[in-house]
Amino acid sequence: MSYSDIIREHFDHPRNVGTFLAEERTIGTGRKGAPALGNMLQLQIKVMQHPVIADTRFKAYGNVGIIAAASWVSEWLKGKTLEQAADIDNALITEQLALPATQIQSAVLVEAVVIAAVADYQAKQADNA
Amino acid sequence: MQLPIYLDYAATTPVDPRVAQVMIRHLTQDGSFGNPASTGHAFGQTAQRAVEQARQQVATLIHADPKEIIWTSGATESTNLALKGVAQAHKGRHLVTCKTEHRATLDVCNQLERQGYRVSYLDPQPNGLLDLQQLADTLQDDTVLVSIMHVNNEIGVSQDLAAIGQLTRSRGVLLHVDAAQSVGKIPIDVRAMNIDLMSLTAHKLYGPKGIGALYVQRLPRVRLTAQIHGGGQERGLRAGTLPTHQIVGMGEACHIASLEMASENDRIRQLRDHLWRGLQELGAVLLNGDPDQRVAGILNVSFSGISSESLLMALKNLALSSSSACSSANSEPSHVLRALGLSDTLAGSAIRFSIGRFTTTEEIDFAVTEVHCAVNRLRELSPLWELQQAGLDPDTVQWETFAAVQ
Repeated sequence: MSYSDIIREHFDHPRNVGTFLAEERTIGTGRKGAPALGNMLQLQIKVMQHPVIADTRFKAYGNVGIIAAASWVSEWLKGKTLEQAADIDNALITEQLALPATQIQSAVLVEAVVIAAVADYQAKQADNA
Repeated sequence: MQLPIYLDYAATTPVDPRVAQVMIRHLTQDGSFGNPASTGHAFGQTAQRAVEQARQQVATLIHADPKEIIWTSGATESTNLALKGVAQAHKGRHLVTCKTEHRATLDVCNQLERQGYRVSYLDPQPNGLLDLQQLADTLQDDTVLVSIMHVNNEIGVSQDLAAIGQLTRSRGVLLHVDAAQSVGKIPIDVRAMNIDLMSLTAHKLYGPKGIGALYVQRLPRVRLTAQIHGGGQERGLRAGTLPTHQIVGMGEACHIASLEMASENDRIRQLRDHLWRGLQELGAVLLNGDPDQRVAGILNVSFSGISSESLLMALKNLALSSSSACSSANSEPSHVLRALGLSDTLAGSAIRFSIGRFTTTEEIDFAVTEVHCAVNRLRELSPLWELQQAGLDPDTVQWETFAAVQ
């Protein structure tokens, strides 16, 4: 498999690897995927000043594409509003990373996890309102 | 030490310089470039002598008679000739093989099924070895051929050919052995093992690509229908001008193996054990295939919690395969590891290390360090590894929000 330079760069040096405390009110967590499907992604957003995403963390299992796409999106999310984040399109990820056709599924997974993370954060705010 | 380090000897080997020297002498005008079939003049006669000497060298390595060696383009062609040739020349309509065979065998069997033959695909035991009782029970009245690989290309386990041959001979069934990975690495005696047909290739034995052979037993004679027709070479069983330079290359490679196999195997086995000890220090690594009944040079290891595709990419300095070279372009888990009963997760985390004649201790030490770094880095990234460390079984992970993405 030959990958683009940006995929290789993010795979070799993934950004924002790690875990926030999922229980905290400022944190939104998205988790999807399954071992049997070959990929799993956990992505977390941290909102310090509503509605702007200040920081992110991720953990990924699977092929090169999912690790690189998760790392890339973890950077892209910083400074975005929740609305902008939830509006993410997997086509953007595919295009920005030049994901090979066989790994478009990785971008679809990343999109779903970002949306889930935003929803998780928003649900917490609603609970506490 | 030159990077990247080649640890993919099971995919192909470099040509031994001694082999290349012999090959060069059969190409140019000042060499014996003649057509071995042109026996009317000296050019052809010299080439013919070279071809027959090589035939003897191949035969010697497997304890066969040179008349039992038919040149082909490699093990895939040999297997095609053996399976199709035997099926077409006999009345029996049933063949037996194993699910962990090379694609060359499985594809030929699929093709024969389309032509109306019946094929039984045996399940190996979890260690990759055949259950002889199961094989015995699978033989039917019209079983014509059993086709089994000696050493598995992905996991390196070595079948008990002598026992299999004893069974097939006693039941009057022909035995074809795919010996692509074993010839020159494990002693083979086609007589003592009751082998009727055997596919060989040069390029896994420090010979050139594009040349192989099929051993076809003469006494009693195995009837075979030719698959390639033309000038009647190889006693009408395989037409086509004989590639003298390739043939002498295979002959020399077999000759070297005859002389050096024992000492080379000891050295490679020590390197392999050294590699395996180093990899085990990582923890949560699984050796696929029987630990003892195996060829010296192949180790197939699953690294829990990460995917082999990512691991291969992280190991830029090592030339490795996630499964056989023929199929590693697609991302389906290996049919061999699946047949052993491995979960998709474990099968998808497997890497094949194959070492050979030119591998050094220094290279193995370097490889171990590289693998440690890469595996630790990817495990740190992996939520699956985290779950496993927390004591969850990766195949039954039921984290509610980890729903399947459709």
